[in-house]
Amino acid sequence: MKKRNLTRTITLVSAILLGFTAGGIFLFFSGYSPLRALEKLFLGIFGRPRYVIWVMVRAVPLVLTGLSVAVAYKAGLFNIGAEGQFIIGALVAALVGYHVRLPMVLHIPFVFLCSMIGGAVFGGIAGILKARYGIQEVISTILLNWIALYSNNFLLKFPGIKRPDSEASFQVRETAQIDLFARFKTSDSWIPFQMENPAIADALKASLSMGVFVAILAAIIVHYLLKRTTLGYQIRAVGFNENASRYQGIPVNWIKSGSLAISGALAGLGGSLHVLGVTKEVSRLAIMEGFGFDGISVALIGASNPLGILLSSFFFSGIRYGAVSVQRDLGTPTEIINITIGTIVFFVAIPYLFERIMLAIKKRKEQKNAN
Amino acid sequence: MLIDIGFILGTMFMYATPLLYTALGGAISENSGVVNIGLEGMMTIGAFSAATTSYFLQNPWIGFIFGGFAGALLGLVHAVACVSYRADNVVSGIAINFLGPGIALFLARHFFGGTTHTKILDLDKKMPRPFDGVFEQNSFFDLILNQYATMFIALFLVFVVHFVFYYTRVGLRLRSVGEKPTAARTVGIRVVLYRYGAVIVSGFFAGLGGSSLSIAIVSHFWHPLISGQGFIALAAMIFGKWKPIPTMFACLMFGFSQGIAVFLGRVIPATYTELVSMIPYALTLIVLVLFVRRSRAPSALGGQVDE
Repeated sequence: MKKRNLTRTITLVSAILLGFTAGGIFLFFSGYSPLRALEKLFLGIFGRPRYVIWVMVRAVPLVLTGLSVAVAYKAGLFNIGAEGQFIIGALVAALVGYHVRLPMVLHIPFVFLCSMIGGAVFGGIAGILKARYGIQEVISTILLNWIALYSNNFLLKFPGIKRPDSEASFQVRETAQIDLFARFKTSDSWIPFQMENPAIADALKASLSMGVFVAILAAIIVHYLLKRTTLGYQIRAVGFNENASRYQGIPVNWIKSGSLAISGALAGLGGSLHVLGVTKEVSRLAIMEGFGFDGISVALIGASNPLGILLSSFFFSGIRYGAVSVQRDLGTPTEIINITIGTIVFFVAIPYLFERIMLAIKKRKEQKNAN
Repeated sequence: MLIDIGFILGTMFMYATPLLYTALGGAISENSGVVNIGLEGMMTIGAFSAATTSYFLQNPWIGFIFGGFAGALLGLVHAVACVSYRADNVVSGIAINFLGPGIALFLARHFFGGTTHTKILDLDKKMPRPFDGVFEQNSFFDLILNQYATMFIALFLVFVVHFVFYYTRVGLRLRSVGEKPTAARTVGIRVVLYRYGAVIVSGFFAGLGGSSLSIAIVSHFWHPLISGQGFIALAAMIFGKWKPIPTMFACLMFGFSQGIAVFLGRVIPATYTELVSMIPYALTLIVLVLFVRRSRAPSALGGQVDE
């Protein structure tokens, strides 16, 4: 077990280094200085307190879609549908956030709940198709993603849903918004506060929302679910060995559908947090936004482990956010980020390569000692 | 009425073409036991390379082949990871899906002065249409058969792959490698070699699929050109139970529902455009539920072999 973790860590660290190297090589050949780009990237993430907060805010949807992909992955299923479940969760949040009137303490949890149900139903459809009809979740979730996208665009055409003269829905009511300090920042005490605590004030300029804390809580709950509950045990057992689980009396089909439903609920919650915390509305989608697809990479880099996912989504969101200031200051092409991420994921896929290298190093050492 | 049917069938063939190439590629890779979820990335790099070489060399055929080679190159990368270094096939495929578009857009900026799309090809420098002018314009047969050469090649390749799979030694060995690699090795089949070959050819096919979009159906490459077609091709291949001819029908069915969607899009009010756009995806899902019972993947799919 220890050895596996060591290999995993070495793989991950090397993969990240190799990813940046690949990005650097591409930058070098297009005439940019890789080191300056790296410096800018670092400053773009950590240069100001508010950058760090922005990176965290932007990591929130990725934590949830990452967890979503991870739960399904633990059950041996590949949920490409986090994208669609996220869209449904966001749509539901925008609708319930505007059309339902409740006091804040009830409104926010109610929106979360509705989005999770929406996502769970959408993920559950793929689950039932898999369990009842044997349709591969890879196909059904790809198709469901498009159905979600077009449903979103279709509904956004109707009066009552669509805000007049816009391509978007109505904004969610104040009782459903989850920004922190929004009122404080418009109050009279804000200006003196800024004078006295410049660092904290700078951090607060980013729209920090409850989403960050909900995301961390979700990661803890998923960890608890997978490691400490019967359901979690059954999910992992099914993913590990389906036949053995069946002999043991685990209802394999139910566990599979259930894990896709949980997976959908998590992605749906991600959509909800994104709407209530950042966008406040949903708009017409010309293309997929990619939160779900990025969630796949986040889960992979984070080894499908909730803590790992928290870190990898911060990392992911950080390089995407930092890249913007690299591009602004140096004019580097943004595609470098995809090349970097692709290279990292590629090397994360092959721990065996690093095992071999470690073995070779060890052998050489032994030979030296023997001589 | 006849004209409408002609229009729908013609649209079907047009939409099915890139899917046919790519899905065949998927079938080749997966029958050797390697999951290829990277088809999307391979298509993207193929589409870009074909559009770029066609533009600079003013010859669509060289561009077409070049698109295939670009896809094959990514196929090689996937093969190294999956066959030699025991990568989780899915993870490696996801990486390919980042690398393909990343490299394609990067190079596009390099060759085309900072923009992420390639220059538009002249009409006579695109893929030719062999039946152009043979039938009266917009007549029934013209609508169906006046297609780019790439469409006919795709249909032809379906039967070539079918023949290779089921009537040649190479095909038998390929499938045995995907079913029982250990047994295949015992009788002296070079499992690693077959898998490398299959994944590279699969990339080549996906590259051709991308090319058939960028230099035939449209006349340049830009970012959202591929958006999801690699995944749809993957779905078609699974729907076609990993077999070439059923896969062809799956692609045609998807193309057909696109044809219906495009046709309906012309006649019904704009409010329902999105519902109509949903048809191909919803219909595929319904057909899957109604007609596909458990389909069986090659047994060793995604597994590893020791050499």
